[in-house]
Amino acid sequence: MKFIITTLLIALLSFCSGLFLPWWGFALVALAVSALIPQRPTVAFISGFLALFLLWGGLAWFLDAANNSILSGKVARILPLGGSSVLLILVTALVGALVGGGAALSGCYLGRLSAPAHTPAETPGSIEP
Amino acid sequence: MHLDKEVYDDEFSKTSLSVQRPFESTLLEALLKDTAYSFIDNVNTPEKETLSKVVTDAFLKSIPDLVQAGKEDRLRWSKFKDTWARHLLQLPALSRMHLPIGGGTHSINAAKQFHGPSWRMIVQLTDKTEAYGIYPGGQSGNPGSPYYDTFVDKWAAGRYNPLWVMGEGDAKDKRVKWKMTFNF
Repeated sequence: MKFIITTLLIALLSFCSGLFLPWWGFALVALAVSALIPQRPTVAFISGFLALFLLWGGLAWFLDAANNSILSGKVARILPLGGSSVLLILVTALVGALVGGGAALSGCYLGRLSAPAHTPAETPGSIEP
Repeated sequence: MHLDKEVYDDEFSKTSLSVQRPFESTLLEALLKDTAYSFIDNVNTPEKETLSKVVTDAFLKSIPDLVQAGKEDRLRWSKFKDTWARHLLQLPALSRMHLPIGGGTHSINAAKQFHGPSWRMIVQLTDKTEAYGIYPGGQSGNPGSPYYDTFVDKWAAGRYNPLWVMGEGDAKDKRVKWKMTFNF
């Protein structure tokens, strides 16, 4: 449940940040959310990764459909993607996801540094950083 | 091309300076006027070549090119010449390639592979000016726009769009969409 909340929150706030900040503004958002909602580092990474993968992939797909894939087909030929719009959308989603995941991971560690008392002792034998 | 090489390569290879090659028209004029044109002789061989030998040799050397073109289905002149409406950055993805038009370096339709006439216009200057025009492109420079290459195919087919040369009374025409007013 916490995972879903974190992911949704990161996705939503990242979208909002994209309206005002440069493309990397969502990294700050992912960092902040992940710092405030304690999770295991792996989970934090996946949360940021998934949030941005879905957000950027979804947005790219939406815009591409509106354009009837005219531009994506051409860009996918300029890049070594063999003219595949789908592949371009996946690459876009991957780029966002990697940054988002990385930022969320950093946020997780940052959260642990500043508030060690809040770090829950979850399952014994869980991987500690 | 092969004839040009046959005639001039042997002499021109003797210098390491970058020398301008003669024009095709120079070669043609020389061969028509003088069958004993001095460049016909290959200076690297002991015997003195004749015009018919040089032309035959050039012809034989061009046969592999034609065979290869035949294999690639490029024997039709428009396919062999392969005219492109190329983007400035020379990116194929943003260009329109393999346009089916004729013409060439020495014809009135001087369309080569990457260079040639683009904007075409026909105008009759009567009282009511009648004009037609077309260009190989579109009204948008954005490759993501469906209007990026609207007229390319029409241009290649040699068709035209009527041009509206507006007169004084046309300002009130129904087709006029917007009006810009400048206040100084």
